[in-house]
Amino acid sequence: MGVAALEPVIALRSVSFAYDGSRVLEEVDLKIAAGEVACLIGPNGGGKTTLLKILLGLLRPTGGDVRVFGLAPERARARIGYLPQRSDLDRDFPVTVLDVVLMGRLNRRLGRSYASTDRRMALSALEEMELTRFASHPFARLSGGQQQRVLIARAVCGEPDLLLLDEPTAHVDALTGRRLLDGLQVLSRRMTIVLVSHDLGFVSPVIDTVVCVNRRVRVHPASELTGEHIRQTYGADICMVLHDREVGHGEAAGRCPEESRGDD
Amino acid sequence: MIEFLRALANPDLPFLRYALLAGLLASVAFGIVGSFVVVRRISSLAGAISHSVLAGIGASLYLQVAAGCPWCRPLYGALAAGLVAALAIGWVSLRARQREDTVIGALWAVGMAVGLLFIARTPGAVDPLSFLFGNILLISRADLTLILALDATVVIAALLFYHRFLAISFDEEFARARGIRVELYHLLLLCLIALSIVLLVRVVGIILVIGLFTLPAGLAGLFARRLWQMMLAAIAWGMVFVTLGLGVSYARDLPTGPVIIVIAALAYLAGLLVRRLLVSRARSAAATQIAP
Repeated sequence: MGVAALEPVIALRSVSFAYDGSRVLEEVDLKIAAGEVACLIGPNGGGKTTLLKILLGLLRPTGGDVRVFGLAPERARARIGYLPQRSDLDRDFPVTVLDVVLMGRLNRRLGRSYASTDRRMALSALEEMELTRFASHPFARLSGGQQQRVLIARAVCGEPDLLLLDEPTAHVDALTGRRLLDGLQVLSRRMTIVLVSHDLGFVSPVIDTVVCVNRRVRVHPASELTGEHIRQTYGADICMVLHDREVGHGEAAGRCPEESRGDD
Repeated sequence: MIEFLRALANPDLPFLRYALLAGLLASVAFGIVGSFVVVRRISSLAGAISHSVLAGIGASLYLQVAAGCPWCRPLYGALAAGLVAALAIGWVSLRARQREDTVIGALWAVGMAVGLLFIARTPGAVDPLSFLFGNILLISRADLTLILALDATVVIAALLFYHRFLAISFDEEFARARGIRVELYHLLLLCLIALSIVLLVRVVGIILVIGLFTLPAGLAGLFARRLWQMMLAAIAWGMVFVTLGLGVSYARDLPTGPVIIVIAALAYLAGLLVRRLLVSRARSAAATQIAP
């Protein structure tokens, strides 16, 4: 990773985005270096998901310049792995776990079924998420946390250099969340990761940079983050724990108070 | 049933053989496309397309009889109207997010209204009911050729784009991020739906055809683990329903389309019951395993 670090993986210059006239993002400047793990935090509707979608080229900014690996986002897609915000996927959808992971290897050639390399990559991604024995299980039968890990395997099985995760720890219990984080730690050795999370105290052991997103964007090294920054971003007091203080596994890490779980 | 088999072999009753052949052929397209309709949850779009087909049928009947264009057969009109409706409805479903169901409902009704107006102005005894509910007596040899061609088109296209259709049905957002042109495949799928509808206009009619998209695939989906398994089972169920339906309707002198749909619906209900039993049995088995 160190060699490629000269050019930032993500470079946003005064990026703005408006949806139906209301400004979601304003004058956002952001640089994320190769190998970095950045966490986007901020209130619901603050623009976190919008920012990720701009990085994927799914949304076009109303102003400013977006570069991912020095390219326009649409052209960088092949190098990006993506975990969408957990929408209500059909509980009865007839697919196996392996089918789902293979979707991460979907390519441009028509009609072709997956090659043996695709299968191998999908299985190794499952192995990394410790889900190998579920490969031929119906996806719908898995627990929420297992499903989330399958979707992460789908995101990484295309061998991306940049991984974008929208709320990977949402709807997942604490124990599963910790396993997820262990998985992320392994992945962070070979790719740049940007994740959206509400549980800052929870993800803090893994992250290098905290990006506070609330229409505007402020970047902090994780170790410098103070309650004042959080107060500015969320507009309210929340309690949190800095990642340079080790918290025993049994103790409850500092948690954000109840946030309004409105529409994002 | 023996009576039905004898009738099938009777050279004076070619329409029965044509109807059975059309139904069996169509079951293949319906099993495949219907599975996509069910997992992508677009049966209301499929319903709107099928009803709009009447506009094309009406227009082509009018041209054929009143304007003197003998080549303008109703199936061609149905084909054209189905494709136009698929694109229009697809465009609406992509653009008018907030008011989608309002606009779809309107197109649904307008398509039928236009068709009925054309039929009303067409001289001669054209019975709109035969298009609404199907009439196997009207199937001709030429129809069968068209049906075979459409069937092949639908099946080949669906298999060619299988992985893409699967991806956009399972997780549209992710598919888009993988560079799949979701809008394009959405429209293509709706066009395949339109082609399939035209296949069965004669046998079950445009109102009941929606049941053959959802019921065999829905029944198959109750037990399938993977999409292609669902498709194979849906094809088999479709063939069973069509054959049984034709047999019963012939033996009891009942309209074919409604009989096929009622049989399919009963089978679907039975399927729901069986699945419920299986699930509760599996649960209690799991419970006894956990208990020492």
